[in-house]
Amino acid sequence: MARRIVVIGNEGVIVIKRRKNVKNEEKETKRKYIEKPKIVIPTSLIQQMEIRVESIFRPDAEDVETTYALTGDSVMEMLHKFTSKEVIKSATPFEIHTKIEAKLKQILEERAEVGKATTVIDIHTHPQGLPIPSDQDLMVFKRAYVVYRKHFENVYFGIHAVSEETKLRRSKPKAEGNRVFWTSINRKHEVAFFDKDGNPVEVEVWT
Amino acid sequence: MDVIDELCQKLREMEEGETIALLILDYLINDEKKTILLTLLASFRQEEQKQVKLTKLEKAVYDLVQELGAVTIDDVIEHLGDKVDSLKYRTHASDTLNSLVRKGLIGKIVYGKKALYLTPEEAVIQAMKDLDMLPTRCNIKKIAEYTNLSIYKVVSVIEKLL
Repeated sequence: MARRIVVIGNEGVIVIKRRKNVKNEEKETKRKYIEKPKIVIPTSLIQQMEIRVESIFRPDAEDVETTYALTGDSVMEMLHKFTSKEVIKSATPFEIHTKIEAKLKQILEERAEVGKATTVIDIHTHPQGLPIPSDQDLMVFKRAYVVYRKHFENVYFGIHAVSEETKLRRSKPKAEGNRVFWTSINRKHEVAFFDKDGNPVEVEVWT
Repeated sequence: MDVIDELCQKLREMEEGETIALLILDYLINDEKKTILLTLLASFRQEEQKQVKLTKLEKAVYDLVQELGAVTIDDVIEHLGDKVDSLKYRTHASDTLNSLVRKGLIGKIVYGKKALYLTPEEAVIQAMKDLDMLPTRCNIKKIAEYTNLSIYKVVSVIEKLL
């Protein structure tokens, strides 16, 4: 069973650490060779994904692409928000240019505080678009995979499609195949997950 | 025995005394954190004392906010104006919404001349989006000021988001 430690640090920063026991780790290693890869995301993290993405948009300004990452082991547990110019070189409504090495550096620094993770998911947004990788996205996936793979056992990619702003009623996140979808009070969200070759990776939502 | 000694003795007697002491000490590191602790404690006490009673009008508007998550004055008029006579008028709709805010049941975020009234959950989430924060890294005091919610309410919503 996973052990959870909550640490409250300076400025009210809350960090949740999860540690597995050795027996579970052995079981999971054996299972890996039999089961298909699957991403598990708790609803609380999906809430953070929504906040992260919508916080980029500003009234009377065009919605631009952004990027973030999730890390964890069998269950995703941490969201990494990239904002510095070191990571994001430029962003438009149609594309975002990021430095993968700088993203990895930030992820490793943030993970150092809570413990190493085995899985990383690099996610970028498609404002008012579809959660389908473009040819350019597929090229980036391949290059990023090589960089992340040196530090993570499992490397996946996500595309977070988000609709334009409108009045909606909130709906709970639901998973279907490699997609998770939900609505906030302002926008429709749909996130699809892929491996480095653009093949769908199944996802499950933990409530 | 003064009150400080009394608190120390109480903590020593309790099984979880050391944990409580550590949590309190963590908030006594600097003035900023000390202010947060004091505001939190005051807020807890206020919440305990508060007996919230709603008028028929407030109940109708409160239910609408719960149903939609967020409303403007125009939404109240649109959805309830036909059902409740006095809610046809902007001043009555506005007074009722603001009364719910004062009672700590809903949050209020002001954008220029317009105000959005939200459930505490949606208010905290919206504040984080507007202020570029995350539940794992946020300023509780700023969110409370921005949403017109008590610190206690903000903390309880953030706990659910973690």
